[in-house]
Amino acid sequence: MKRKLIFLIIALGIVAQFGLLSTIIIRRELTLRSGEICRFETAPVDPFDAFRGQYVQLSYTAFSSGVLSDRSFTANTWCYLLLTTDTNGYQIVSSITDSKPTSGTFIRTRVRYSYEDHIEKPTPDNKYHREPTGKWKVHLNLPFDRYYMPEKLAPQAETAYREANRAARREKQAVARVRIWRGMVVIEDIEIDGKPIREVIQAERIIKP
Amino acid sequence: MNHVKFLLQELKSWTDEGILDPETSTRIASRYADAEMKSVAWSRIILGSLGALLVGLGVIALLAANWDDISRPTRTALSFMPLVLCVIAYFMAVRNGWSSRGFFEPLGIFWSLSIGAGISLIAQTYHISGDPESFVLSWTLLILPVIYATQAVVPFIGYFVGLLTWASMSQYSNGITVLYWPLALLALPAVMSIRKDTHLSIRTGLITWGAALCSTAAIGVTLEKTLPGLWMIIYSGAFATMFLAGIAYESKDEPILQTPLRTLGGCGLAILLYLLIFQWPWDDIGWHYYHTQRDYNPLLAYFDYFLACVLPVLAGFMLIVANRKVDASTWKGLKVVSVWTAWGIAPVVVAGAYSVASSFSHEFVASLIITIYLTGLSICTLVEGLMRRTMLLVNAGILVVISIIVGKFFSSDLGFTTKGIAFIVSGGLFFLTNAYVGRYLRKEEKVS
Repeated sequence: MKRKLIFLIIALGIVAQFGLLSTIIIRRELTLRSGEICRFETAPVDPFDAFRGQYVQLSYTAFSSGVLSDRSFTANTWCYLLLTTDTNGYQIVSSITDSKPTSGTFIRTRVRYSYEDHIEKPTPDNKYHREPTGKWKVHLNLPFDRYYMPEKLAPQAETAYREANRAARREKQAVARVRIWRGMVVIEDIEIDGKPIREVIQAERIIKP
Repeated sequence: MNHVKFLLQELKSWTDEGILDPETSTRIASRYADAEMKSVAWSRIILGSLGALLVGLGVIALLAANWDDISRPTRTALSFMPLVLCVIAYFMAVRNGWSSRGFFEPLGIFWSLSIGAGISLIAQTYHISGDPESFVLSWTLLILPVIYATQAVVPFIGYFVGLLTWASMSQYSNGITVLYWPLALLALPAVMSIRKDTHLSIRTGLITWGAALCSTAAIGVTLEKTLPGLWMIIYSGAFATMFLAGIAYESKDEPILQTPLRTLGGCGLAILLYLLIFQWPWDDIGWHYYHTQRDYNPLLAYFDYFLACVLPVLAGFMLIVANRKVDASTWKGLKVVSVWTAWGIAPVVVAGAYSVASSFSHEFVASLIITIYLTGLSICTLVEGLMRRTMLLVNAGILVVISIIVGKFFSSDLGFTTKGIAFIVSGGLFFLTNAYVGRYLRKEEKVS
């Protein structure tokens, strides 16, 4: 009896091992197959932080300076970002809420921290003082801030990504093409001037062998 | 040569010399031959485990090197492959009734690695950011069935190390670290089962050491620490409980590897009490210094209060159990209180000193109470060592006394010359006492 019970526990554990891995895969596959295609404009990142292992650290203009909200959010809690499209065709955040939206495209993510937003206003004696704007800035732990690449391609990808995001030039546009389905986001590719990052690297290899 | 092989050879010569009759010899031989069949040399287990580790890491490296050339569905299938192989190997072993440790120890390592590799490879395939905290927790929890299936040492220790790592990360990000304890309890039935099946084996010793060390560290990590200084009562309770459980359930003749509770509990108590002879741990403790900052969660602090109440009570309970299980010491025919009873009441003494320091801010008095108590303990240990003729106890007693003297001298305002002379004198006394007691014990042995 005891032996059977232990065997049952082991069998359930094995099911859990396969179950967890399968769930991760199935949800992402469904997102990649049925999700809505969205594009996020990327933002520059600190070059020394760009690589931790074999991935490109991504940052987005829509989130990099925090998302404005009417209220504060507790760190580590889940929130939902309702998205809309700007005039350039990139996704931006229209609102942030703690309850699941019933319609529209949204992302489920965790709050890193939030703080009261302030604005600096000039005083008569030529100094500045900070005044609250009545809004809150919410910083997020985005679930799509890493793009994994093989060891050989990673340094070139980092250079291409950084070049495209160099604030002074901004000649090229780096964009993350993602799929969103029921709050889940999966990165499809990174595009530089509309071309997949791998193609850009290959082309640069041919020009500069 | 192992003990069984030696015994079987000796049996043959005893039978040839006519010391044993052939029938008895055969009966003894058949009894130990079975054990010989089941036992596997540790060298084989270690080599097998190392092999599993290297093969596992090699497979992961090979997959990672060619990752970009493989399509997404193939990558997904490959992420599962090591795990599938382990499960097949396990079910084959169960079906064929294999029970060799030389098979299950490496399988446990390879299986545990393949879970971590599976999660990592899938995360790479789908560019999942995932925080390290949830990665460590998922991997650790998925090792649990491996523990029950293989009962291997490395996954066991890995499970506790994983939980401790997760709790440390979680504490840093203000997570609920107390979950360490219910999660650690999930492995307890397997630990008990191994202790029951292979009592006092190296495997049992290693597993218990791993669990005890990780859980000792986890106490510090999982405490919310809103009430400064409460850790003293909690740690003294935990160490006393471990020490007394070791006295009750571990054989005193076994080596340190197989007496983790007694060794860790005893050493932990000695180190903790030694720290408390100084004044600095008693500064700014108690309700007057209660932490109200945002980083401290008052609800989670109830776990600290719970431990501060339960652990000393548990130590008291273990004291009763140990007194019932272990025969009382005698001196010249008289029953005397064992020295471990004096060590076992440490939580009560620490709690008393804590209330003095926290209520009246008498840090000096608190440190003095502990100094007197620890000095008394070390002298009692020394005396018991002499009574039982145990060099280990004698040395432990002397070591603690000298450490107290050295520590107190160090923290005093005396000049370096005086301190230096004091250290030399203390060291000399230690050597002299050791030599004298050693000679005395040898003489006693010769007389008896």
